[in-house]
Amino acid sequence: MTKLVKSLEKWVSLGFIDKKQADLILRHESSLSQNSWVLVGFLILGIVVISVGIISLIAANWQQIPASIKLFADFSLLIICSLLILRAGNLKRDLQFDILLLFFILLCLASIGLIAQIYNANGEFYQALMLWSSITIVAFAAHRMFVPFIWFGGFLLGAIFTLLNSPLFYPVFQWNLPAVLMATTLFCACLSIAHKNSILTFTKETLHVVNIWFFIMGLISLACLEMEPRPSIPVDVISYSPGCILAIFLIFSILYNNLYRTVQKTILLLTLAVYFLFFYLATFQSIHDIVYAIFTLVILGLMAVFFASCQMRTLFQYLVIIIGIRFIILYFQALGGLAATGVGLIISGMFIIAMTILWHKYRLALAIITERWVR
Amino acid sequence: MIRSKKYLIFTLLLPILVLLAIIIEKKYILATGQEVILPISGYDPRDILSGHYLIYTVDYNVAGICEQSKTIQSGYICLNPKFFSFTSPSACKLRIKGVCQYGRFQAGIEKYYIPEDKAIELDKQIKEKKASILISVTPTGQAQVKKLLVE
Repeated sequence: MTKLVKSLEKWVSLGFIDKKQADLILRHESSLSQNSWVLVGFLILGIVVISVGIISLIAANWQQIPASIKLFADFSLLIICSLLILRAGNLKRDLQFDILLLFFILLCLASIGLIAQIYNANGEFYQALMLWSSITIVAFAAHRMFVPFIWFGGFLLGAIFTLLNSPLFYPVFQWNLPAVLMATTLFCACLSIAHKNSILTFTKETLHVVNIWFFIMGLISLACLEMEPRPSIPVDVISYSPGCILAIFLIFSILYNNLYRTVQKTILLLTLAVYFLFFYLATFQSIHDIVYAIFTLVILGLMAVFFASCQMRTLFQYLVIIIGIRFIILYFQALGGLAATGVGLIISGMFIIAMTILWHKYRLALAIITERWVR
Repeated sequence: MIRSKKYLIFTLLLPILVLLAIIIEKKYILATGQEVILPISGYDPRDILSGHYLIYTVDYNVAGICEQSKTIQSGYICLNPKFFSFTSPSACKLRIKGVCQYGRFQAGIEKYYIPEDKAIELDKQIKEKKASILISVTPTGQAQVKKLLVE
């Protein structure tokens, strides 16, 4: 609010707005929620610390306390938390509602651990995560994004490890991590495009969460492909079949989408083609490290242009930063030993500073130019 | 966001009911199953979620367990009389149902949670082959660990 007051004073002094307009703006902003991201962040941190503490207490295995008492306490806590969530919902206390919801879903995870401990239930951590994500869909009742974001992250983590480690999926994925990450990335893309095509309907917050996780999984899948050495055992192309099936769905969804312009559809289809070509070359052919970098930069560049065309400026700017970082890494890869010398490091430092200044000064203009170019 | 109060109540009750159902299932197996003692040998890793636990190999004293099994396949160990079968054995008074995974039989009884302060001592005793497990087995072959028995 202090920042806003200073900005308003400056605008009044420059004659952009008059005093009356400034007062109206200030009154309006004051009436909105005052919950800053710092407050929310610390509340989340507090809840996560409490939850980790509860899990640690369980992990200490309290043999002194009978199992029935532990379970009674656990379920009492779950029920009390549920009632508090309902109460917060009735009183329209959105922040309290979301914080309690986060605590509730983390408590559910702790409860699964407690039951597994008491009854010596066999099972892997990823199986617990899948069970947890299937029973905590209440996460989508949250008003803010952080609760469904955490849920979606837990679900994806459980799904990735399930696809990798579960004997049920071995005939398909064959412990091929890049194939699993590709399938997961394309799954997130399919969810997003299904909303665009009105096959699925998400709220704005849920769609943001899906898009963010698509972004994260895309980066992870590209990074994994670059870092994981070529498989020492032959990898069957069948491990990529789920990715191919999802890609077919994506292709048709993109082609039959009425909201995207032709240029946007072209960019998306081209990105998909380059993405698949990258995975094929990295897995089944022998390619130079620089080629990995070029493919990554092309894919990131195409997605940046697409985000700009959709006026998703935040994601566009994050991608520009990542492209810049990847260029710096490419520079070190290309120069190798020379970069380790004093001259190399000086040039690298100047390059980093120059890129940072250019990005800071022209990031908005770059976004606008790219949006217009795509239009 | 779930806007309907009815759906909110349902989604809040869902995890509580599911967890209760899991507990009831476990308690049923422990209460109604036939008790069997089986010797074990093993080692101790740590579970992120549930604390210290012992993983061990159960000595069923049955020949040919999971021999010639595919990557993953259901299997049954009959304890009376002693034999192994990939299909549910009709002439068996006491059977344990499990899964053959890469030649190993897993019946969901290969793990026992232990207090942190007793972990090293118990691990040592099990390595010296002085431990067994008391399990409860239902007529359908579902087994649940009841106790860890150490000499």
